[in-house]
Amino acid sequence: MRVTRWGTGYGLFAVGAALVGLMVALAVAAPLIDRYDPAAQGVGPALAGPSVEHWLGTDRFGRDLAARVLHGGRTTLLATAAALALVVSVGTLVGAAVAAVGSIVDRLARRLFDLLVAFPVMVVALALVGLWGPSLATALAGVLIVLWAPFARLSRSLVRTALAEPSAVAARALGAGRWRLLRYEVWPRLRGPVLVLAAVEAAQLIGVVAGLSFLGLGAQPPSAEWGAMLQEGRAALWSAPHLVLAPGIAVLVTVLGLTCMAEGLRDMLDRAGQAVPE
Amino acid sequence: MAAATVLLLAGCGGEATAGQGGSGTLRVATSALAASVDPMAELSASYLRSVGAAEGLMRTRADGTVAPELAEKVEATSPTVWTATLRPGLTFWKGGTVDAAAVVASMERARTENTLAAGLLKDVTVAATGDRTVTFTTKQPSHSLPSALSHYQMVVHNVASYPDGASGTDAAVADLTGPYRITGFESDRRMVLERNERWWGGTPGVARVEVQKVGDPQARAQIALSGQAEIVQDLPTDRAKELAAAPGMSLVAKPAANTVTVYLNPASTAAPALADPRVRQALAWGVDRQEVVDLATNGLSVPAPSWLASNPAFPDATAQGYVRFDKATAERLLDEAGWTLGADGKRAKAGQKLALRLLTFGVEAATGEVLQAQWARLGIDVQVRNVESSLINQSIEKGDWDAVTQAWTTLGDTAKLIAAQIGPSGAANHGGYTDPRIDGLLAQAAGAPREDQRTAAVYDLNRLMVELAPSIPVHPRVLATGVSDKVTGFVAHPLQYENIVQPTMTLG
Repeated sequence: MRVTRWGTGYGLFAVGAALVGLMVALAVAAPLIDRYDPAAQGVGPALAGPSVEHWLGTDRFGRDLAARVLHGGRTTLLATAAALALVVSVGTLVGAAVAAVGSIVDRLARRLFDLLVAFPVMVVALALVGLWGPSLATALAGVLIVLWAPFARLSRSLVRTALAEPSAVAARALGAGRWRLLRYEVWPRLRGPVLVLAAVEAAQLIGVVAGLSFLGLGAQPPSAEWGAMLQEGRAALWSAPHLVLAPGIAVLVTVLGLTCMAEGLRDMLDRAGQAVPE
Repeated sequence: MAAATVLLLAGCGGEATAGQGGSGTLRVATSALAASVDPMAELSASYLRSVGAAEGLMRTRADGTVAPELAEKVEATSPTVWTATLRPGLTFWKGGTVDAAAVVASMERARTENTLAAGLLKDVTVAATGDRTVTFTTKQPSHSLPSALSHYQMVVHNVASYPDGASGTDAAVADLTGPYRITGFESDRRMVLERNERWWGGTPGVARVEVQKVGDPQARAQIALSGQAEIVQDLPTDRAKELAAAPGMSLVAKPAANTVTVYLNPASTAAPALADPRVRQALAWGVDRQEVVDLATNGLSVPAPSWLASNPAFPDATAQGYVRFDKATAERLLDEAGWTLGADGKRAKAGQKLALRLLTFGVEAATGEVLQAQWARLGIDVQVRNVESSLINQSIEKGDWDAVTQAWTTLGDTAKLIAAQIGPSGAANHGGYTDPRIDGLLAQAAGAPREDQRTAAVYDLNRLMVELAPSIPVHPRVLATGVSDKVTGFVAHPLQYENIVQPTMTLG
């Protein structure tokens, strides 16, 4: 049977990238697209359905829902992207450093990574919110405390494996320096799996950010945030379903896109013969 | 005042008198339920009263006045003595006689076991002076004793049925006087009541009442819509439209006798502007209360221009205070206080932005969001956080707060309630506000010989609260109840604990 590019994960990745790209583009272009201040109350009648004037309708305070969904995307995606960039870089660097140092540091660090990975992100975030009060920054701080560990664990494992490969051993024997080893032996084996994990964790992060805001522990009023909007709309689920549908679809499309990207990447890397995280 | 003043007389049975008893089970869903069948246990008396299990000597009518309940009449027989005459033939559920001695025993146990009751009976000596006559002797002339006797914590219970160590969760222990007696009880979860055939007011309207606690307001709304309960209390106002349009039920909304108020901290280091009364007044004038009511309560409440406005016994209070939305006055006051508007639309003074943190609790989150938007239009940056009430109390205790929303009751012993708001060390005087006029007016409100003098002093105090602006009244909370079309005789009441199961209700 002939294996097409679609069958190797390219298709899934492309669909995911398109969905995520669309959401990112809408969020970035929000100030150009929307016609209302997302925090302005009374710009329309309360709880009005979609119309030419208000594309996605209005909420209980008469705020334009389209503006809030677009700006909510900025909040959610920006917070997720910033947190992800931090956990990926910190986790990967720490994991790689530990693998390079080896001995007792490696063993101790491994235990720490395992311990942190076992901690539910939501519980840590809730604990911090309990200590410092609800805000998106506090919730993200809780996420950061835990979420770098999976990247550290993965990169530690991959770096150790890469350094034990015959090509790396030979390169070292031929006098290759640390940077050369990193550049040609470690990095090619590291980037793919880390990217896959990042895509998986990004989807989870969006869920955590939206979830905490849904519980009233993340973004605070009048910030537009998808999770907070879902919570606000939940009360009027039957009489004004557009309040839940708009942010709900936004979360769904973004998480679906990221999941497709992660799965597609995994398939692509599997084909390429690289070890990828489950 | 030698001549006895007969303050209150009940008509035969009064408004509480039930008609002919009907059959059927009334199902009730509530947001909270009694923790114990002992009314002196914490968080119990008000809920026992609200489901028709407990009664006191007096009760509060829907118009805010007090009327006899177990008492036939209560009269001032001297400046320091009130005499209550019990209705004839009163009995507890288990058949014991409710005589003067039983009432005194109940009062004394309340004084010993419950701090709230102890406060209400402070400096009051209770004595039985006949089979049906109880006297209440106060150290100073007191005009508020009938009001104190109508408080939910003053319910009459059979002391012999509540010995030390008795289980508060055993329905068999309970022995009260209400139209419905408890036959099944799960603490803070479920209660079953059956008609009290010995009730003094006649035969209560329904045979059986099942009360279930449903904590989630959205779940309560679904129960009301699906007809799973005939009475559903404390419905979320953000579903008012849907509930009002639902077939087979009515949404009965009543502004409660408590005012959602934003308390301001003049000693805040984070918001020093609040020390200036002009800024506090500007915040108050800058509130469009009608818009708050429309957006935050779906139009189910009413604007409260002054703190006392939610008390139906003081109707003129709705004409006092911030009776209109006056953005121009608010802006002028802020300008006078030196907080001028910058090019960025924000007000600042000496390089410091005019900003404050507003903590809200529960249903007041929506009110907070509307206020945030309205004050933003004045150039004030408000950060709103909806938190647990315990966090609000902690912030106040630590002094680390700028503004908080609370809704203290306005109906009861008005002089004491106002003293709590602005009196020295008043429980709700969070900002420690003082004014030389307060003490004199409070004394006048509590102790002036004539009722019109006391009423005038209360209105003066209410006016003084507007002038000092220690807090910003916004609107009363809403008591939104779903009542099935099968139910007749439901009467909305501004007090939550008078508002659910009433003996006059029948099932069609």
